[in-house]
Amino acid sequence: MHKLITYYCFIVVMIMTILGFTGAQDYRQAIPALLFYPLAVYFLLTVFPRKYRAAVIEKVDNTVTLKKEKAGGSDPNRRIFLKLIGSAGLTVFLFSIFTKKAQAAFFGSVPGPGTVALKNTSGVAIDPAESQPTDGYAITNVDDGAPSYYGYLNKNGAWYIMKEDADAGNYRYAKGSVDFIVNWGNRKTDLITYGYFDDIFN
Amino acid sequence: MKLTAKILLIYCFLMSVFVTISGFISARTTSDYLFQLIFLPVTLYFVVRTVRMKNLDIDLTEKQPELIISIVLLVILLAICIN
Repeated sequence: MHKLITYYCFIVVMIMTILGFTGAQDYRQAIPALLFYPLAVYFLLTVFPRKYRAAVIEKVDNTVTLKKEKAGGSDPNRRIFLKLIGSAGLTVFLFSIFTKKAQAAFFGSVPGPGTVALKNTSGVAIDPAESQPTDGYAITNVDDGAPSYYGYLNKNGAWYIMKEDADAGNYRYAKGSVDFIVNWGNRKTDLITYGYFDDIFN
Repeated sequence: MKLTAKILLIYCFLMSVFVTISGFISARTTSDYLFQLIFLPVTLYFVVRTVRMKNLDIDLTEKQPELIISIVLLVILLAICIN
């Protein structure tokens, strides 16, 4: 029973160590695998059969029996070991196929290979590909007066103008979908209504 | 060499406990818990071995070839990791 548990631990630890090293994409991800490696060394030293030094003894009838006893590992243990390798390896292999986060599960919060998800402070996964209201706009016109005006335009003709009041320390926005040139000309007039970012881009 | 073996055992014990506890704390899905259950016997093994430290599994005095093999294996794994 003790040997069964030892062999099982040996297989699990070796698989985890190999997965940890092969899945590491930079030196930071290799550090946990490196810290985990002594466990694999421990089981390597435990599982490897002990060497028996040959003893020079006179030929008597009993020596044949003694030599047979010291010849090496017994067959039943090897069969058990091979069965353990097969079952444990197959189990971990199946888990690695059906779950994509095997390494994260072993090493806790340490990231493994594959997609690294971004999370906000609440721990909720967020999509970095999600578009922002001002994505795709490029700076087009600048008026460095007081207040300053910055006009942005995208490829579809939509625009927004950011009004900077440096004295008051605030930024206000106005947007539209067409006629940037006309609206830029009216940027200082009451024809353009400026507001907070969330009101304008909501 | 017995002291080295004891230090290795204690390190393995602490590391396995840390992996188990951190794994269970950070586990979110059922598969995460299952993986931790697969690793749990390793932790229990080291707990029992550490409690019964008088009877060490390994004797490093006659394990130089195995130590060399483990160092070579580490180098190979690091090479795979760097590549």
